[in-house]
Amino acid sequence: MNGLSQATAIKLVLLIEGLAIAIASAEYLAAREILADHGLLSWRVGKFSHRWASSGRHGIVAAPFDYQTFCAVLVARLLAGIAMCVIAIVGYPTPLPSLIAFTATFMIGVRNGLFGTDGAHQMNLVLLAAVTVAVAAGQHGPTALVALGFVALQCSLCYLVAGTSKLVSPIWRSGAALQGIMSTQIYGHDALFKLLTKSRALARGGCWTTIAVEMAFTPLCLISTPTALLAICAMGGLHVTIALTMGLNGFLLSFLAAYPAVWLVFGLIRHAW
Amino acid sequence: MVLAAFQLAELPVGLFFSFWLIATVLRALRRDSAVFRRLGVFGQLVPLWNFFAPTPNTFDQFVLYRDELIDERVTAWREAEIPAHARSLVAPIWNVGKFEAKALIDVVQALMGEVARAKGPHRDLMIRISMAYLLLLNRVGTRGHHPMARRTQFLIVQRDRQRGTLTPTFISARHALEGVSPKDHAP
Repeated sequence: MNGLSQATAIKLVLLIEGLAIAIASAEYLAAREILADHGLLSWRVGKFSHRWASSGRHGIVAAPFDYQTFCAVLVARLLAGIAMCVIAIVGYPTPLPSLIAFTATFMIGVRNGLFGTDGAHQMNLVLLAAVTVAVAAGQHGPTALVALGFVALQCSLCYLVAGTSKLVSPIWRSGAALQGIMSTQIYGHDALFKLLTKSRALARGGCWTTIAVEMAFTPLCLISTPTALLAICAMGGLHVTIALTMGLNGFLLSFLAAYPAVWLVFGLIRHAW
Repeated sequence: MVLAAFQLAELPVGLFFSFWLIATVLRALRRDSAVFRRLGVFGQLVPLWNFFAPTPNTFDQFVLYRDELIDERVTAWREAEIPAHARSLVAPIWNVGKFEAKALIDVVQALMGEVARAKGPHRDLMIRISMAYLLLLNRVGTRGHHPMARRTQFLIVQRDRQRGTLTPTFISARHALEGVSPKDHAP
């Protein structure tokens, strides 16, 4: 159809997402102090936001979230990420690694609530749920295609919502958003901040390019194979730029992992038309 | 044609993912809806895809703390050093500092939300029992303290690098220190 079979798309999603999960888990383990009792995301305190965790009767349910045990959960997530890469390469289809990775990723969200999670965490949950279903149902079957369709539509929706939210925002339309973000320590970049401060036209151009690339993604994927390739390259390029300038490395792999599904599913949609 | 190929067995999976997609669309339209807050730990399954929009964070947040000593003097403010300030050159591939830095931003924003929402005679109490306040207090309370310290207090300072301003945005109450061991004492 467009040079990518369903089974290959699933393998590519498994491979890239496995890599994303392995790196993110290794990073989390390296930063595990944040999860300790004296850390900012201490479970000793955090558990009181959950009735089931702070009640003595549910100790067994809450036990996996204690610091030591949770580090073991992160190790399991790391190994599951590596296993996803391995099964993608050797072609032994089992949903177990992605199911473990999904459960551990979900547990990170349960433990930390909304603190410290980002869009990559959300995309990881979407991808891991879908790829688990796709592998469990058989890589060549229609159920796997439904799962890949879900990934493609979530990815498409993601860029549409992100683009629209920026388009209706005066701070994004004026160019001040990019300048402001680049001024921060967490996501900023000194040289870019100075450059954008000097040139408002460049700041405005950067903001409008981001809006345009995000909003054009879905229409371009629907038009033709070359325009779909253009959309994927442009959006992938934006993610690389974001990783380089803002340090958001998690977004890069998590979103790239969705692209094989986007390529396959939008190809089928174009063909069906 | 593709849809026609689906069998009855695919229906539950299709419905499940359709429901998930619809929930995502609804969340994009009504991001502050109480419905999603009521989902509790399952709320994280419904993505909010509005990265850095409509209003991105354009400030740096710093947490400082000081001790009240047993003779009622107070120490100078010092930084709790929560965020990893410097990003390394390998950050596009390996960025360990992002978790704590992002968590700090989220916790501070949540605390500011509590401050804005809390009203009435129990306002201070509501703020002090909020999760964000307790997490910051725990972090500050477990850092190094003066040997004579009996209570501690934290301050949040917001920096606007574009305007070159530092603004204190929140100061906590003073809280008793317990179980501070000598090895934790700062010089």
